[in-house]
Amino acid sequence: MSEIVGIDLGTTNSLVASVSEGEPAILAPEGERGIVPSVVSFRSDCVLTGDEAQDERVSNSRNTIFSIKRFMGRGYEDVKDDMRHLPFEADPDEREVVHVLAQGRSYSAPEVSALVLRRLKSRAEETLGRPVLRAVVTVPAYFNDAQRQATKDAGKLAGLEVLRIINEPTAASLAYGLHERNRGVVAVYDLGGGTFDISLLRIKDGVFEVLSTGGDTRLGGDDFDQAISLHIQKEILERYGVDLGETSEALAELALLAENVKKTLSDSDSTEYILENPGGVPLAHKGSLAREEMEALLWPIAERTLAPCKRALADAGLTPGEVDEVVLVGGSTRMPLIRRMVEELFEKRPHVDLDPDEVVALGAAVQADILSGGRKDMLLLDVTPLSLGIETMGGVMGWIIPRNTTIPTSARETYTTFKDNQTGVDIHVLQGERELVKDNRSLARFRLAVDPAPAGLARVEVTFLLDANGILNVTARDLKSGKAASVEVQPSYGLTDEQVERMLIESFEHAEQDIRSRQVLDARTEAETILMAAARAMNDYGEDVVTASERAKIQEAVNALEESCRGEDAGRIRDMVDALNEVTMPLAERMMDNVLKSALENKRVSEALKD
Amino acid sequence: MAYSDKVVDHYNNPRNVGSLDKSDQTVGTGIVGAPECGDVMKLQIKVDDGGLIEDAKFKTFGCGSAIASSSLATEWLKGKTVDEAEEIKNTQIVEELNLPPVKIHCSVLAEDAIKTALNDFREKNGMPLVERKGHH
Amino acid sequence: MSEATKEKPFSVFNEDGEIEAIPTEVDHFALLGVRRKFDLDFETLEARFYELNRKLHPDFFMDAPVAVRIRSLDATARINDAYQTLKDPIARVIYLVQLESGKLEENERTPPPELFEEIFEAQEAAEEFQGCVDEEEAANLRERLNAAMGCFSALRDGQRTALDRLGAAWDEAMEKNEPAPPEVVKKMRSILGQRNYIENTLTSLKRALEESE
Repeated sequence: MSEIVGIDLGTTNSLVASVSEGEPAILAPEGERGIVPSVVSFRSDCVLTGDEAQDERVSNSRNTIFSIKRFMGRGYEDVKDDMRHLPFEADPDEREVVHVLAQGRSYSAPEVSALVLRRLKSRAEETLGRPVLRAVVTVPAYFNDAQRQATKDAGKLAGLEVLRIINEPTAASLAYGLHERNRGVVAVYDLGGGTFDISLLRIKDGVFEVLSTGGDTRLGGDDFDQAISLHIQKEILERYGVDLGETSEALAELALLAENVKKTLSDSDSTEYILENPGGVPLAHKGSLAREEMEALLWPIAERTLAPCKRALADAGLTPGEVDEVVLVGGSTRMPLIRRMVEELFEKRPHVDLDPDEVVALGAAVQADILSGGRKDMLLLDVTPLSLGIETMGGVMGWIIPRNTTIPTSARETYTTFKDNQTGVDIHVLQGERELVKDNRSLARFRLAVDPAPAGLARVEVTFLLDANGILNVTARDLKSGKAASVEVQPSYGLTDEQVERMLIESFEHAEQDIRSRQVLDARTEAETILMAAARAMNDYGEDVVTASERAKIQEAVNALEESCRGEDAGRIRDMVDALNEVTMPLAERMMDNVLKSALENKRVSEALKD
Repeated sequence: MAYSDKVVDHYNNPRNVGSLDKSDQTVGTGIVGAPECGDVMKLQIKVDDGGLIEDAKFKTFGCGSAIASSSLATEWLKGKTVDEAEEIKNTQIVEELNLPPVKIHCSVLAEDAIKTALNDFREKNGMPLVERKGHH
Repeated sequence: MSEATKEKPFSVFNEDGEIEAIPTEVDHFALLGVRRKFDLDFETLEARFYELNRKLHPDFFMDAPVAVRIRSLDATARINDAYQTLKDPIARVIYLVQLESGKLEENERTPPPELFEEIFEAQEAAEEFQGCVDEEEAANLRERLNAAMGCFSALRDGQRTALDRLGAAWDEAMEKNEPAPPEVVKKMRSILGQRNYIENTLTSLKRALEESE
């Protein structure tokens, strides 16, 4: 098996890490820094990422994409207001999945993220001297299903199998708790470039049990920069009557300037700045800002992190005094304003022993080590950040899994029909805490197929399962016949399988190696789907449905396929998939009630989402 | 999912919210609750000389589905005879409102409220009571 | 319920040490291997929960055959559900009472009239208060809400004490392998049947008072 790495795919910066000899370390080629800016610059002749792309933010502002994480798993309508302050544009023709425009082409958010991931992948391969095909990728704890799925898609596009999505604050706690595995109740306050998370955990005997989590996926360092940038824009408008907000290049320059001012004021009491012909606008401006002034400017934003903290405490049934330790994560927690605020809230001085920029990636590497079997004395038990519900008539939420439930978790609902010969029931799944459907996040819609029968006779049990990644899987079973019912899920915000495929084909010049590893990955994904269906069917049905000899044949084919998946030969995996198909398909066709066939069609939602 | 505007309206603008005089001989009152979620519902009918339900009011403290269920129930009650009203079933409410399994108890609550109110009216007026059967 | 399921902890592993599919009828207590009782030691429960997760969690089966991974996933989901229910004292009482004496939904839906009268009064006052613009009237209403708050809080506290006492009596019967005394079962079911009404009323009152601040 190839190496599993840990990746922190941040709004501003990304890092890759792995564990060697029990210790996690950031991977970076000799002489380079660990951080890779999450920036992609599309030029007419090539595509740049990381530091090289960062350098293009002013000179090629319209085609240099940053903060793409804010758009993951979102639709055009969600982001069009945010886009107004950015130097690049969203594609108005792509409604469900945000696409950005660069060099006259349209790129989905996962595609852009994939470019950053590819950069991380190749730097890991270069450092380790081995191919890297599998990764643990972190996301903000407060990310919903669509955002998690989009992150997985980005991994796939980059030629990485995302084995596990873990939450950033939880990852940070893994790095913190690596050597001291009885730390009591720990609060992780994570304020990054674009997102805010708070998580409360109990760390006991190496078990990291998340008690509650809260956050805001649209609150972070970017907002502070934005506020400072607007302050300077206002200053300039008042003094010179010039609106810099109308020039993309000037906005890009201001964004960088604002970030610098913010950073400087974390260490000094005041700073001066100079703007000379910003974005080609003819003016020379010298301004200054004191830390106190800046803090007054930023307080309304910083204050927005307090409510999620208080809610997380209440959800965990804890008072601030019962929190034993506080850990700060994310670059924005370097600001003295934030440190003071956190200290006041939790009544104790926060920990800053680990670099807040690196700690998440290090923790992801620890989780990767656990998954690869390298570490058996630690275990992470995370929770779902958002409640899962289904739409009830008139747009009211009916909750079935409350937020802060430990994952994996499942809920069962039994549906029936109200009309004679009704052939389907429509189900709309959502995530969120608000009473009305329209205020929550739509995850997916699907129609549950029901056999025609008199009204009220059908009883179909639907199982909603949130897996260890916090991603939803739906399966259904007709309680009367015992057979699996088919579930075809339409994602509300996500790429379809065809879209991902097309992107793979259209994506830029890939090395021979890349194509091969992606083929292996695709073959494995396909194998996974059919293995899952076959295993479910074998589990669910007795001798009367699948005879012992058929069972033996299927098992043999399953073993062969699983064996082939451990290798790197895509052709062989596909052959074995066909072989398994062959032994299960005639069975499925022969049976009157389609038992196995429906089971085989009944793919996991994460797969079906893309169909 | 295509819902009729009329039905969506029961959520946004519940009809017939209010109270009738409980001591009035022509008024039947049903007060019920759902122990599993704590929703409480009061439903009242007023019967005219011809034995038709001329008015129906409700007051529900609970989730949106419970409010919509009782709103719909009061609409259906008006103009029916006491015996016709007895025929209203929770499954009809579930169908009309397309309630999912987690909310079916809301419709049961509405049916219970109707039956209790009808019996209250019968009792006040010396009519034989109708025994309540189990529901689903 | 037979003695066997009551006392013998269910094992998720078969003789070969492989994960088994968990039958639906295995209850939370049997699954976590703790005695079926109201009085449950949290430390023991937590230790069992961690122990099972260390053996069953999907993290440790990443490269296992798919069939094993599915069983690991399903088993972990069941264990999480069981722990979530049993660690919360109220959820545990509700679960155990239903396990021993049937679903609470089968309770009478017409609750004590005096309680309902008070609930409607309190709820209506809360509603009125939220839409109230007249200052003097608002002050009056606030006083009424606060009084109701005190009244319902006392009711809730009284219920908790009663549940503890009844639970202990029930536990005692279970220790002796005797059926729970019918009056204890009846009282517990009645208290639990009223619990949500009281909680909801308290929530409404609290919300109304908070929003006015």
